[in-house]
Amino acid sequence: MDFEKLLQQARQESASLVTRRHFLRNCSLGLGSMYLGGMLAGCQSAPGLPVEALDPLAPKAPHFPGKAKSVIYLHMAGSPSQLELFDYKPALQKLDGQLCPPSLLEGKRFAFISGVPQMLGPQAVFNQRGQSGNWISDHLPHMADIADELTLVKAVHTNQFNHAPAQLLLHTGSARLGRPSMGAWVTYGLGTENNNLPGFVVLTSGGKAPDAGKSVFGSGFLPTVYQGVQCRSEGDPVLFINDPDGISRDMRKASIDAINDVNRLSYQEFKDPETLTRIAQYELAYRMQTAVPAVMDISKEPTYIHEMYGTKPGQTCFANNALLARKMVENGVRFVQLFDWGWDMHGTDADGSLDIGLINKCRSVDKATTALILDLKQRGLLDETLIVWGGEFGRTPMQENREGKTNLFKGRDHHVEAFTLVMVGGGIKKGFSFGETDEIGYAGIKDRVSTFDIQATILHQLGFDHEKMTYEFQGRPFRLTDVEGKVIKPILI
Amino acid sequence: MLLFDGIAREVCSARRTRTNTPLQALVTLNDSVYVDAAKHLALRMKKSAPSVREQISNGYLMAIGRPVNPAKLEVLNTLYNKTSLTFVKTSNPGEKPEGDVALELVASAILNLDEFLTKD
Repeated sequence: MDFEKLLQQARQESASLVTRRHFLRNCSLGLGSMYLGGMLAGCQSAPGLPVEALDPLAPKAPHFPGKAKSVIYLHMAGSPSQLELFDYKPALQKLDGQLCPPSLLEGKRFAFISGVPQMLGPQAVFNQRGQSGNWISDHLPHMADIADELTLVKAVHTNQFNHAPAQLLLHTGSARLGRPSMGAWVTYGLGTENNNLPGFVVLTSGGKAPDAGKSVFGSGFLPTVYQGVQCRSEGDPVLFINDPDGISRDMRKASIDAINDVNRLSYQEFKDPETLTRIAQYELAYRMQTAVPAVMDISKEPTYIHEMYGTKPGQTCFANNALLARKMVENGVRFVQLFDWGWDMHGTDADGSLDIGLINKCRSVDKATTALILDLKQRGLLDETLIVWGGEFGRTPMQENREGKTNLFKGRDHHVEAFTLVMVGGGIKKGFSFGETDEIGYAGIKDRVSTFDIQATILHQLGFDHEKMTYEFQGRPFRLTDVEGKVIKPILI
Repeated sequence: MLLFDGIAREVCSARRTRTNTPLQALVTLNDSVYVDAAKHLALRMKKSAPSVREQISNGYLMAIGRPVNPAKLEVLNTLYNKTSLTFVKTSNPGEKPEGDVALELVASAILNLDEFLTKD
């Protein structure tokens, strides 16, 4: 079995070596590689090599057995305030309304804060929860009830204070466009367990796509077969899923077979690996036509499940997406990424405020996130499913004051120094808190971790050494964590 | 355009992201625009020559811009024969369909070839 997988990977590798474009690119590195390229091309031309053997999504073995088989990344796009949800700072309350000391502003850059802002105390009631004593605010009553399942990573830092670059950094390891996303790396490394569904699925809610666009779930320089497939949670899950009038399933099968046969002939002629992707995607499209409507149909779920999640069938909402995420993982999808927009609480209007907007957003995800965790647990899937919940950066302990004016509502600016991410299941400790910030929550003072460390940890739980998972591009091996990242060992079971 | 990761044109983009998903395959197979395009390509193919084999080879030439090689022609011709056979079996006797469904399916297949969708 493992030998088969190795053989598969070797074939895939050599296929990419014999394209004219790839060959020439390699040549530019020197005559040595030109010789090698030619030699390998010779090896590849063995007669009768079936193109089917080159399925880029075949299941592959990781570096070592991983605790987690799949990942559900719940991205609260816009970034919720850690100071109102998980990072309780009573000392900040005492400073409420005072001018921010210059030491916190010198040499720092903020997205909107200008001049000297006022400090802003916590705008929520906090309590210690469960046996673990994790601090969670009343904004998240359901998640507070299962505090003993969660690990709070409280001193995460990033280096990007705008949404799009910060989201890119978190999901692709670079603030600039062009790198593969985490889900793409994972499907590249592990393949998919279910032939009828994409290995990497994306669902969005909150009325807006992620700021960084589809690049946050793109495949970058990896073959496009690994890019995230976005499904709709309202109406048809996928557009044009039905065959046109008068075309039966048999006819569709025959036509896809013909298209792929001709594409195989073209592949034999030109050896472009992207043609293989095309073949794989057409086959997947055909199988998805029956499999996707079944998996994406939440109407057949029992009533208690609907009540548990708080779903709204027929609408686009986070609760529906959370239930879909469970169904996907149950059906072998490797990486499910949910984006929920609307967490950017600056205080400029009611929806974008800590006093009103944040409470409403919390209500829209709290119950469903908790239901997802408990539902996976009751199905015995939580141990092998890693769930991550959080934004792309944190919020300032100061009140946002764009153009030096006081906003109508309470709000906080983007903050790179410290924020909280919640991690659950997939071999992560239960009822644990890691990392500390200073007494006003401005910066991490103990066990600080970067977004690269988070990526390294996610890959580690899936069985990958993030330093060894590389892909050759532009003359050097690239990896998700670039030259950084350390697995956060203390949070692992 | 969203499904093909088209840019929003709000800002300038120096390089488009590469993209190829099964969702895109479903668009070019099933969206009515592409179905109509295939119908009309089939009409032009029908008019262009008397034999089906020539019609298919002309269709390929029209879409791709070079003559079809014999192996590929064989695959497309088989699709035509298979489809007409299934169609005769499944449709009600006496019912005359509009246009040549089998030729339309072949035209749609041509418009879904990798060579047609990606022109280097």
